[in-house]
Amino acid sequence: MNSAWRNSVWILLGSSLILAVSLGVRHGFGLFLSPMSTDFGWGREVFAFAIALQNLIWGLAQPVTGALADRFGAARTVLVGGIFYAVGLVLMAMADTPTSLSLSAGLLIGIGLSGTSFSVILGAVGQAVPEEKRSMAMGIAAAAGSFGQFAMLPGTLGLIGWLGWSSALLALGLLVALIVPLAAMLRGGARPAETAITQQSLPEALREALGHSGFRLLALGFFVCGFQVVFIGVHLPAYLVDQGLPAVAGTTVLALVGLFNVVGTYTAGWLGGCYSKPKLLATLYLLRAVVIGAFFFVPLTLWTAYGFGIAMGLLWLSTVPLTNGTVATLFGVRNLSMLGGIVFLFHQLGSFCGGWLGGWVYDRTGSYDLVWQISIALSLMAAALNWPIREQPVARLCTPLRTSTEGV
Amino acid sequence: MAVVRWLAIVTVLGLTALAWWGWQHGGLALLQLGVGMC
Repeated sequence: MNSAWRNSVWILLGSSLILAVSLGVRHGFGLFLSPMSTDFGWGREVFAFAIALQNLIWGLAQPVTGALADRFGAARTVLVGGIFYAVGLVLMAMADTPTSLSLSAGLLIGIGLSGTSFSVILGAVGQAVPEEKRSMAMGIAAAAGSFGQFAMLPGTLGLIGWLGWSSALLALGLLVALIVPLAAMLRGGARPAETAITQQSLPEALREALGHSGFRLLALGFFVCGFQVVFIGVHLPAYLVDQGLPAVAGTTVLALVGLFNVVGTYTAGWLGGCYSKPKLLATLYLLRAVVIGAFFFVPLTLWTAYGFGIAMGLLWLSTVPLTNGTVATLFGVRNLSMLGGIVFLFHQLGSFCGGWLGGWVYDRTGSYDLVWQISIALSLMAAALNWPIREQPVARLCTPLRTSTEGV
Repeated sequence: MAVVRWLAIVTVLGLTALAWWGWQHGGLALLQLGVGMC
């Protein structure tokens, strides 16, 4: 194993670990809703607002932290992001007013997540591995994040039961603080040869990407991904109960989503190294339309619900390595974190709309039917948006290459 | 770097232990709580 390859493996390991911790801890926040709201006598909207704010800040900060990672290195950005995240958790543990909760769980953790999650981490992975292995490497890192989400939930619940919610948050803060030294694992990767000829100012990179139809289509398609995962994640348990299934069915289905998500994400990354990523994305969104359509139109039983969980799990975050991989192919990896961050912003806007629209429509019509239908239509639209994207690097990248050993 | 490597190994082991302990003690309760994955 030569030195460059060893460095790449090291960066991939570090990326996987940081994503597993970052996304794993974030995924358990829902468990704090009930104990915190009960202790302070808050309505559920106080906690829900803080988490909604967190998602919005995460999306809005992502292009900025992505740009910082591209300019100053993923290691430094992750280090600062880890500090924000850990401090946010400690302050959340001490929060006793709606404002302090919004500032800690919403603002600080939102910024922390933008520095320690997909766009920054996958940008580092994209820069550390050769092009032919990029998609699979992104799939491995994203699958590790998915596994963290699945595995950490019961641990978080156990900590709350054992220590109480406030001390559990402090313990999670300590865990997240490990990201700070682990960020050093992201240093020292050799950048691929193309970066030496692709020096661009930030406005140039933005202009190039925003003027590229493929980039705009990709971002719009990712909006649909965010819409569907948050609508399903937030409203599916209530929908199943409305349809006469036991309450436990919803969480079992979501656990199946989480488990099969690991398989789907890795497989999508691997397939992205063999086939056209935009075509795979289009197929994936088409399959989502079929799965959601079947779930909505076929008479619902416990087993069709479980089947839906497995199928949606396979299609869940599998969009992430394919979307980021396409951005890398189109524009190279020099500004991958920032451009991936812009695309992710659309994902978060979709997340906000999916979560909010589900509740809004339900409150007015007494059912989720319209949102399921919108989800199917959006899936078909996303498939149509991704299909025409040509996976061809921009002209700037098609000039003779030179080598570089500039650090990540 | 050696310290970071050891820290990485400790983190992996710690996460695995936390997940294992959690599934042993809280997994069933989790299924009854209604936690959304998104």
